[in-house]
Amino acid sequence: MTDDPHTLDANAVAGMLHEIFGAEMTAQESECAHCGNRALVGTFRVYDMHGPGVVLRCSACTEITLRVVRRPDGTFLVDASETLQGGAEASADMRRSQADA
Amino acid sequence: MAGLAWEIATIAALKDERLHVKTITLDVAGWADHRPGQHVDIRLTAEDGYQAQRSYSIASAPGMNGRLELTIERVEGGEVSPFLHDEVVVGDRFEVRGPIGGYFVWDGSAPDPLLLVAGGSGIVPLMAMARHRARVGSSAPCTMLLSSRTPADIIYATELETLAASADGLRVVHTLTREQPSGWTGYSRRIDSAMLEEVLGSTGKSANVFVCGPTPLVEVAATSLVGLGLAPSQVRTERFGPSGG
Repeated sequence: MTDDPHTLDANAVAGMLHEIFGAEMTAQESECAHCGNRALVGTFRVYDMHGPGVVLRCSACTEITLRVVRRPDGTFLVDASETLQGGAEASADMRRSQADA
Repeated sequence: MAGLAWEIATIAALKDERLHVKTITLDVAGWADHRPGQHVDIRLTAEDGYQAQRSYSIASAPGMNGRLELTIERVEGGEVSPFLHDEVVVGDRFEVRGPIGGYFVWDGSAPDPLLLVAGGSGIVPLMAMARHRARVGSSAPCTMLLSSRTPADIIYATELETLAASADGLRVVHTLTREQPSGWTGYSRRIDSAMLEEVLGSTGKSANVFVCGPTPLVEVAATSLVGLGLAPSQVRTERFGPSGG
């Protein structure tokens, strides 16, 4: 765990994640591509809540698991290449969302 | 549950909980009932089109037929909370979407003991859990450990007394960090590992724990609880940092 007072939990961006992926995401399990930690998305730490982009990091190794940029037209650019989803179906969903964004 | 649409909420009631803390009761037509611990996003739109969005925890228990309560602390210099405190009146409308979140949620079916740890207005989502627990008659033993600066800062103080007095397995433990009433025999320091160990002693290490409050409090509580032997997966956290307002 980090001790940075400026980080929040992924719950703080649960609405945005729901908007992007079309489903509640914080109770989904995922695997960190860096350290292999399997944990619920809700355990991710959130950085830069009010910047143009949001970065989510693994709570175990603090490496980046998800990058999201909100574009001026309201769509999102999502980089989930460092998150390994628990199931193939979720992976496909994530890729689809990236394609849509 | 697919999309997450913005819906119109109408203010049904406003109540001052204490200085700078207000409960707003909202009616939302077609509202999907929430689970205790979930939150909503609120979006305000100015006449020039400028929009501000914030997340607020739901304070009320589920089952109120499209009615929900948000307890909101006024953040000085904030964009949204001063407006909700100073400007709105019953009948006003704004946009909400939700309920949101599935991680920081306790739905009342687990029989395991429950430990709810809060600092300041971090009590709000935990109060939804305590209210739900009482409403459904859950037999899960529950301890709330609440950190407040002064007695006057305790949100829901009267209701907490009533809930604890019902002797249904709810225990409320306060720590008052800045000012204590005369004759105070409770804790008078910030939450630390020794305090959590004492509180856990009667709750048990199989407890499901929910911690909500300022980031430093959550860090100390979560780290201490894991140090006391709880699995990280037993401890769910919701930090509110300097991003509110």
